[in-house]
Formats: sequence, C-alpha cells, structure tokens
Amino acid sequence: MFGDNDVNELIARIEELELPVFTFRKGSQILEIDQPNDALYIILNGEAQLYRKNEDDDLVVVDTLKRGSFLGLISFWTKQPSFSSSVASEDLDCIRVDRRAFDRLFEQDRVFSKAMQSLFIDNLTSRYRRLVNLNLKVDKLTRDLEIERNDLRQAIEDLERTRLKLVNKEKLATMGQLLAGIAHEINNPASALLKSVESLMSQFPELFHGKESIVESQDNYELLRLGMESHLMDSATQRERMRFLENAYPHLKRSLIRRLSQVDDLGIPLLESSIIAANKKAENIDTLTSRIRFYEIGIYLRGINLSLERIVRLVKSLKNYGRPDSGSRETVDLRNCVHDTVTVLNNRLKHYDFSLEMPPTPEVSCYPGEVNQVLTNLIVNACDATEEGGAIRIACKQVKGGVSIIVADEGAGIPEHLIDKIFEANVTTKNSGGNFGLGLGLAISREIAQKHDGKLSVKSKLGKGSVFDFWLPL
Amino acid sequence: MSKIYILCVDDEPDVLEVIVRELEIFEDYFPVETASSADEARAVIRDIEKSGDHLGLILCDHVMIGENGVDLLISMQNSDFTLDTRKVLLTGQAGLEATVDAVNRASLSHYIAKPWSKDEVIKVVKEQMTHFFLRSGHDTLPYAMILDPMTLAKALHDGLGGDR
Repeated sequence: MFGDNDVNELIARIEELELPVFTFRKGSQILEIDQPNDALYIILNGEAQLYRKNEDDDLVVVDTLKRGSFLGLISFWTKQPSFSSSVASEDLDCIRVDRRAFDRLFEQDRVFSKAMQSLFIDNLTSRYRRLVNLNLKVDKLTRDLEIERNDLRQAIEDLERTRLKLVNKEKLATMGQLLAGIAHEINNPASALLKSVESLMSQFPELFHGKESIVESQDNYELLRLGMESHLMDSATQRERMRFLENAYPHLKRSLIRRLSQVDDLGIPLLESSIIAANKKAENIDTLTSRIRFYEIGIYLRGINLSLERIVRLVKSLKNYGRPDSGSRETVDLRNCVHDTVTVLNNRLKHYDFSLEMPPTPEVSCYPGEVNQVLTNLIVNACDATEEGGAIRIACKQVKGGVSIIVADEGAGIPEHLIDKIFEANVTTKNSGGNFGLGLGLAISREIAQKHDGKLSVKSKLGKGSVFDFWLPL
Repeated sequence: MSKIYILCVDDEPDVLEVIVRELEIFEDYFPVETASSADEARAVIRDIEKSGDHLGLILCDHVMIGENGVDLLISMQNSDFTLDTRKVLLTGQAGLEATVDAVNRASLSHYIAKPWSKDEVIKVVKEQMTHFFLRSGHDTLPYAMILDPMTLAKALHDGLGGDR
C-alpha cells in the first residue's frame, strides 16, 4: 500500500495535530456528487467507492479507494462541487481536515506538510497510472468488441443462410410429397384409361371384321385400322393435301375435303367409290361421311392412346422426380435422373433448341432426389441465361472414375469477376427482368456434389455461354 | 367470289386439330386454315392475300415456340391487309402484361381462356365474323345462315358499322 509511512506518521500524530477521526459504517455516504465540499478526507482503514451517473442516470462505480487515499481531493482543491459521490464500501476510518485546519497545519507543521505532499504525489501518480491502464483496457475492449461484432455479423449471416436453406429444403420436401401424391392420384385413372383404350383398340375393329363382325365390311375395318396407325399431320402438309383433294374432287364441300385430307394414301383408294358417288345424292354424301368416320374414329383412338401414354410417362417421371430420398444411397442409372428432370422441365425446355446425348453409363450410388435438385438448378439456370430458341445441350457420359452430367448453354455467360463466386450463397447473376433467384441454387448444388464426393464445376465465357459439369464418382 | 378465311394458330398439333374440328360448321362458308407457328401464319396470310381473298378472323395461341401470339397479332394490326381481321387470343398462359399489350396494341377482339368449351368458341367466332362483315362492308347475304343475327340486328338498329 502506497503512502504507508506517511499515513502511519499521520496516525501517530493525530491527537497532537488535533485532527478528528471519522468512522463511516458500510454503505454510508461520505461525499455527494454536485454538492459543495470544504474538507479533505484521508482514508486510514477500510475502503470507499466513488460513483458517477452515466447517461441513463444510473450510478456507476468509477474508482475504489483504500488506505492512504484522499477523498474529496478535487473538490477541496478546486473549490468546485464534488465531482463524484463516495460511499463506504466497508467500515471506514478517515481523518477529516477542513480548510482552516489544512491551511494552518500545512504552513506550521513540517511533518504534516511533508506527509501531505508525499500523499498528494502518491495519489496523483496512482490515479494517473490507473488512467493509463484504463485507456489500455478501453482499447483492448474496443478491439474485443469489434471482433465480437464481426463474429456476430458472421453468425447472423450464417443463420440467415441456414434459414433460407431450411426453408428451401422444406419447400422441396413439401413439393415432393405433393408431387408424389398428385402423381399417384393421376396415375391410377390414367392407367385404367390406358388399359381401356388398349382393349377398345383391339376389340372395337373386330366388330367390323371376321367371325365376330356385326356389319361385315372389310374396307371400313381397314379404314379403322389405318386411322389407328396414322401419324399426326403438320398444318403445312394438311394444307397441301387439301389443295390436292380440292383439285381432284371439285364436287366435294370444303368441310368434307378437310376430313378427307386426314386420310392417308392407303385409305383414299378404299374411299374412292364413295367419293365419286358423293356428287349425286345427299345420302351418298352421308355414306362418304360415315365411311370417313371409321378412319376418324381410328385417329381419335390413336390420339387418346398417345395422349394417355404421354400422361402416364409424365406421371412416372413426376413420381420419380418428386420422390423423397429414402435416407440411404441408392444405386441408380443417372440417365433416369436426367430423363425425369428433363420431362418435368419440358415446359421450359421446349422453347429452346434442346439436345440430349446419353450413351449407356455405369450405375452410380447417390441420393436421386438430390441429384434431380442439382439438375433442376442447372437446367433452369441454363434456360434463364439463354434467349428462347437458343441451344441447350445436356449430356450424360462416363468419364474417368465416374459419370459426368454436362449442362451447356449458349446464353449470356458469367462475368469473369463472378465466376469464382458463383457457387457462394447469395450470389446471383439473375438481377435483370425481375426474374432473380435467392442465389442459393448453385451453393446448394455444390454442397450436394460435395456430399456425394463429387464435383460441380463451370467454364463460362461472357456472351458465349456456360458449361456446367456435375461429376459423381463410381 | 373471293373467300373469307378463318386462321387458327397453335404450336400443339393436337390442340389445333381439336379447334379445327370444332369449327367444322364454319368451314363450308369460311375456309379454315391452320398454322403451327407465327412464321407459318404469316406465310398463310400472304397466300390468302395473293389469291385475292380475305382473312376474317384469327384464333391464336399465345405461348408458342418462337414468336409469341400477341406479337403476331400486333404485327397484323400494323398491316393494312389484316387491320380489319378479328383477333382472338385462345390461350391458357398469357400473363396480364401480354394481354394488356394485345388489347392496346393489337385491338384484341376477344380472349378465350383454355380450356374452352365448344359452344363458347362457336359463339365467339360467329359474333366476331359478324363484326368483321359489318366493319369491312362485305355483303352479308350469302353468309346470313352462319352469321350472328343478334349482332347483325343490333348493328342495323344502331346504324353503326360494327362495334368499333
């Protein structure tokens, strides 16, 4: 403890100097802030704490003073109101020297004045030292705070990213369940319909043919069969056919010409006699119409059959695509994943010059749902980056140690300064046209690739397009 | 006598086939033509113009591979030959913006949402073809059976040439 000798000397001479000793009980106030003070206190035993008010008017401990320290030094010396409140933090004995006694003793008593000077120096030195230490402490705190603030900022970013990922995952899971549910619900009636149409296609023509026939008519039977085997005609071909038939049979009305134009070259000769007869009587026209109807029924049956097959195929793809992963890896042919995803995204892809190249590849162990998610991201990105009508190429092939799925577009490409960041979260190039994403697709995709011990990489040239390579090990 | 055509445009052949089948009752009065893209539609329109015939109505899908339907209708509005042609959008996927564009810049006559009903299509085509006659001043007499008597009567009563 500093100033010990001086204090001891003072104590020894208290009575001689006629200085009063005060005792403050723990918790009692010695000086009050902003109140005038005209005495100097020297702590002999115990401890006092100094308080000041902070901006919120709360009292804050600003210093703790012990034996040998002055209380009221500043206010006594400057004759200003007390700078802080002082409260005994434990029972405290102190000498109280009022101004008159101080002046008298300081001038007359060499021992007192020497002790005082030495105590002043000690007090000031100690206060200055504390100030320096405090500044150092403040500096360290500020730095710690800055570090903590950066950590917090990072943590908030991480949290936000995790949240978005979770939301995304949840959405995908919900969508998957929804898809599977819808697919199942559609699949049942569609399959039933398909069976019915298949039966109809095999049994209905028999009504006009062979032993079962109710109306024996070989030609109509043939017309029906031809209709079922016909191919959809594009509008230009049909126009040409109509023109040809109009010239060949000018006596037929255009509505009949149109119906007749659907009938292929094998069917026309079967109808020839009815066509020629159709320029005479109304009932002959009816006969021709009825006979064309056989062919048309064939076309309808074929149309229903094709459409249903399409629905069943789509539903199957939807079911595979949306199927939630079982939680364990499966060994799959990646081409099925590509096929399912492409089917589901056909609505987008049909607007592009789209090509698919898939030679046989070995099976790969993976989570198919996640692979589909990556493919969806890559294909949707390719569509977003490419003008309608532009080329999008998807290839699936065996490469060293694994299978690569390539999604290449001839779209906008990725600016050079973004190419290294494109797989980071919240980075997106889709900021025009109001069609921007969360910037999570590629981040999630790369994570999925890494989870599979695979790789997702990109090569891109601004204005030329991008090539994404999704590689999975065997 | 010059012919007045109806043109249907859709990039899905099955849809096109269905529309044409539903328009069968018009075919003996107004030859129905089909096209599976905007480009093909233009070629058909050129042929019609070349042979001195007219295009009364176009039924057009919006979302098609290549140029979309609304843009085709707008370009038709800017051409003298197809200015009077009634323009009907038959679509399931035109957004608000495209539809507004079609109304403002192509003077869209009618909008039919997919899936449509046969009765609706026939009614709309009948009315719109009648408007075409009133607007273009073609003789309605040979077509009295197929045009819409209500629209005709109303136009005669109002003494106006059509709805615009």
